Amino acid sequence: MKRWIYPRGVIILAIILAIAFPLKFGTSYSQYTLDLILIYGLLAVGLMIAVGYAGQVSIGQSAFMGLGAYLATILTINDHWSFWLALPVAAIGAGLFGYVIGIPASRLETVYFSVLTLGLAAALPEALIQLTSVTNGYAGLTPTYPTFFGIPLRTNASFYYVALAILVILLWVAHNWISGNVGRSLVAARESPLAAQALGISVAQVKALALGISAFYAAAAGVLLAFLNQYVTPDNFSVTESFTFLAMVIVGGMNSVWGALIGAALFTVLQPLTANLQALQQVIIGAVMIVVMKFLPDGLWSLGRRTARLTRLWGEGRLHAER
Amino acid sequence: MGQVLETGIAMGSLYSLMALGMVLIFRTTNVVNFAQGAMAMMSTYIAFAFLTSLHWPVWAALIAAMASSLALGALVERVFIDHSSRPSAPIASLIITLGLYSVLEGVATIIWGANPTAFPWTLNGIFWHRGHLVVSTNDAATFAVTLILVVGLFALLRWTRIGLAMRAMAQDASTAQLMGISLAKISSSTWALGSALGAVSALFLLPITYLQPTMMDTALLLAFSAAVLGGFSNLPGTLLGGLIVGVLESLVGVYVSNQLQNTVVFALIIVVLYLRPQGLLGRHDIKKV
Repeated sequence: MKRWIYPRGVIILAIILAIAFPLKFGTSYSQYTLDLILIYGLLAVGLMIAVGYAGQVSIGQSAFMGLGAYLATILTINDHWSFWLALPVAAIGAGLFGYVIGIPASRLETVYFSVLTLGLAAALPEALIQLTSVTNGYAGLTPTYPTFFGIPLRTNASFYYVALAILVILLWVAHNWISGNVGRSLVAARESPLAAQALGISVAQVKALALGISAFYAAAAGVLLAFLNQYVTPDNFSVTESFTFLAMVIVGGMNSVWGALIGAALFTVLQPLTANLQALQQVIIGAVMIVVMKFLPDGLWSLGRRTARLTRLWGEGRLHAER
Repeated sequence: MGQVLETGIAMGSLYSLMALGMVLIFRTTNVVNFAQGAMAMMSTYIAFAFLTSLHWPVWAALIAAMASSLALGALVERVFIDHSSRPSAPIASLIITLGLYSVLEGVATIIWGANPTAFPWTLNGIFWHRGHLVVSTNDAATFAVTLILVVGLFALLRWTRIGLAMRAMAQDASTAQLMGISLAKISSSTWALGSALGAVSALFLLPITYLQPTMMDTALLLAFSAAVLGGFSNLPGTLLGGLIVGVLESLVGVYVSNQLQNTVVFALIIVVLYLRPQGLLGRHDIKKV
């Protein structure tokens, strides 16, 4: 990767979100929902890189999220680290972990990757409960508010800007990753592993790297979630969460950053509607995964893109010629 | 110690059965069935419904459950997978089975509730004991049924036309089709068979897990690790893998903690993937990419 790109979309989104927020969303509840959208958006972008670009379906995002959340919380509580240091350290730590466990699975068929991440997602809550001395078991931990130059960021509103800044930075990084060397290697490795290898791409390594990147994003989201809620318990990171995350990416569109963000926003907004009916939520999430995979494999974002293209062609009077 | 091993082997046989079903489906149709556990759970609830709502005798309810699991397997393959109609995209079908897993668990919770219920009929009593070693009737039946099914499965694959067709499809689907094998038929039969193996496993796990929508979650993971130990292809290796996983689970449960099973299984998967990615009995012809 020689030069960094500055995608217009990211800049526009950042400006809109930064200005629109204090104007419109007065109530604390909708502010909290907006915070969650940014956090899950971050996670979904990372997962999109693993699923869409590397073709590796990770069921372990809940675990990486939990890993990041707990690492940062423990570092700030026990070792009195600043939030601003704990966040990158926890995210990079989880990213490295994802990379290391991704290596052996990436050499094999995609099945292994999914099985491995399912195992991780099942193991983490259990391990957290067992390590009571550090994690406080079922009771969980309560991280303190992050401070910004000595000012504690106490409100959902101030937290919004923290999450927004981190999301924008990491969106920009993601854009550069997927349009640069990493992204092209991943697509090559996904489309034709043999050809990719012949071109000197280490297929296993780039696939493991994709899991590392997705773990990094999930962990960063986990840190933000922990500090937003002021509370982490092993229950927050169960396997069911991973299903929701997958559904976000699949519904939004697993080949684009914007699709992942749309999916995350959609699920975060709709989730409270079925909050009391967990079983119904499970049915909806599963059904949506099946239906989208069957009938709209590239997700809602592709629908938007297709419509835009058709409208343009229609406007130019070329729709018939195109068909 | 002997008792721990006995329990482990009994549990392990059940994980083996489930894993054999998954590996069979994976080898033949190239789909990993993440809904294997949820489908098996559904079959046990169907047996439960026949027993309690319709007051069928036990044998009839069990037969109905097995029949429904065969039908469910074939139905899932027809509706969601349909291997024959177009080349399968591994990710798409993987995600579909994940979705199915979520749907089935949710549906079971809505119909029957999330609370664990005791199955109205169990194999009680002790089959055989000597000193401290006790073999319960349920365990003895588990051993017998596993033995019959495993021998039957191997015989089916080795000596019958349909078994030959399954092996042919596993090796090279398009050539198999050219040889006059109906991929659609074989694919559905494989799914039916795999689903039924899972249902048997679930019925024998009932005394331990009780009847609940999440009853097969742990078993699914353990069966997956058995499949990993078998290299996701080798059937004897998968059988052995299931037994190893069962014994390991039992040992960890007794000597370490019964709350760390998933963690140990995860560690096992990682170690196997690093040291023997082709599985315990696998040869080196794994697909590397």
